[in-house]
Amino acid sequence: MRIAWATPCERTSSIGAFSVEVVRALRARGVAVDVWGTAADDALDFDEAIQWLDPATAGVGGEYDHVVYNLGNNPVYHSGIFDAYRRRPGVVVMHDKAMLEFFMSRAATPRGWDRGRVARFVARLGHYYDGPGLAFSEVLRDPSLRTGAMVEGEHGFPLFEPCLANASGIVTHSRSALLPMADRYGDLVPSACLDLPLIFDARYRDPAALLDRGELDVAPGDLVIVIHGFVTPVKRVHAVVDAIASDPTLATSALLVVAGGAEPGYAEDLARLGSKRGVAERVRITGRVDDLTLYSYIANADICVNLRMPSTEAASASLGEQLHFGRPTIVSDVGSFSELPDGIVAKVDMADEAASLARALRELASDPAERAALGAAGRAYAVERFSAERYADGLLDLLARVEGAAGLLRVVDDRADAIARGQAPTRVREAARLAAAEIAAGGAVAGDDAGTGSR
Amino acid sequence: MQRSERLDAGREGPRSGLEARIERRILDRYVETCAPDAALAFADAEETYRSLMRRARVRRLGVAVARVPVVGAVVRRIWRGVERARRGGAPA
Repeated sequence: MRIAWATPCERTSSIGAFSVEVVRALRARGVAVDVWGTAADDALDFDEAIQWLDPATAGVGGEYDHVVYNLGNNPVYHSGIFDAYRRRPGVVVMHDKAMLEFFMSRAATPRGWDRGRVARFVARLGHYYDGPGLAFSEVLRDPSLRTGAMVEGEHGFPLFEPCLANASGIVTHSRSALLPMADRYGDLVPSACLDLPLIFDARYRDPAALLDRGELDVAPGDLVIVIHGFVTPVKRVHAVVDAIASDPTLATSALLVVAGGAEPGYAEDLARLGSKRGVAERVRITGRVDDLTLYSYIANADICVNLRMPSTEAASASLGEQLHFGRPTIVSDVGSFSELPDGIVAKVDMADEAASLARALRELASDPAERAALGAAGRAYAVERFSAERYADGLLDLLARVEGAAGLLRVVDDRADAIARGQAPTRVREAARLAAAEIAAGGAVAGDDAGTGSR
Repeated sequence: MQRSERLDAGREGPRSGLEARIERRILDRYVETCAPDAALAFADAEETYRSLMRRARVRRLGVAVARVPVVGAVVRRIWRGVERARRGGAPA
């Protein structure tokens, strides 16, 4: 089997790091994989040469059994990948369940809105969600809605649909992300939910190779609470500072370490909040640190915290890292976190965030046995589920189902494309009826795969 | 009006689940493969765009005025009342 794997290749991209792990696992299974990427100043090492996507044509060229596109909501990393996907169908790996910001960003230029792209954006909102004027004007009027109500809930506009219209298969990393995507075309487009593998450098996975508390300048008696990775208000670090300051015991015994970079202004806001609440010396904001320091903080944590509101990613890579080190972890009871079995993590009810978070912190802080039990359960779960080999096996299984369903999809897409090119009347219902009849008549050709859908 | 209604006005009768999903795929691919001009024609986006730009210009002007001390306080108070009324609440 020969696969083209389109991915961001920059060293700073976590999806690029994910690709390194999965591509290696696929190659170890005898699959020939060509990596396709957009130009990168500092590219990851994929063991073999990267094929660069040409900005002029922006497509994946050559003969492949499958093209796999890794799509996420960062326009810097994913615009080129999305353009290539539009030109050639393939299997999409949806790293985010909300792509609204991605498509909005593509409509913006340094001088303002690109009129044509705004038109396409509005047309998309109108088609997928109705009421384009209302939807888009709400986005412009209140930017805070973009990452809140705009992407979640009954009236949300996640706008993942453009990433599926040319997809022959769908992969994503949580059931909550998969359900609406798989539901869009049902059996026509096979889909799979696969667990994100560990993607961080193998050199830092052994705690014995990491720094100890003394080397991290942590006092022996401190209760170390760690939040790691790039932080934004979505990760609710300010709520954790508040919870620590509100508890007399935590306010004197806990050390909150925020290990990683921060959105502009957010680190300053957190430092101000710490001072205002009288816990400035209990909050350590490291800024961007090297990987050795980053993973050493996780390995030495008494408690890890991993909150989101809203939850826009399909799954959290940082959660896998926390569980890998056997750290008891507190998560928001939203999105992919909600799907974790009880006893693996402690979940915070985001409808009552302050009280629920304070309770979870207090209970874990006061009970070393519970911390150890939760950490051990999380570690066992991570060992069983979060591997690139398991991911590659799941992906190959999906690709087999995609091959089985390709005949059906071709019947539909050929009719759709003829209508779009103006080569057939735009009587959509009639076209759909004829395609369904053709599929039914050709059932023997389509084979048993006609009945397979999402897993 | 939904895109499906624009493209296929007047259709009637029940559909199977498969037909409905095929129809959705056809419509999605139509929207995604059409040129922006065609998308404009089908989604009434032109008028939406104009209205949004008008709104954005008014808002920018309001923000500029509101940045002037004293005037800003008055404008912000009025603006909050307008916003509250638009959202359905009682004006300040």
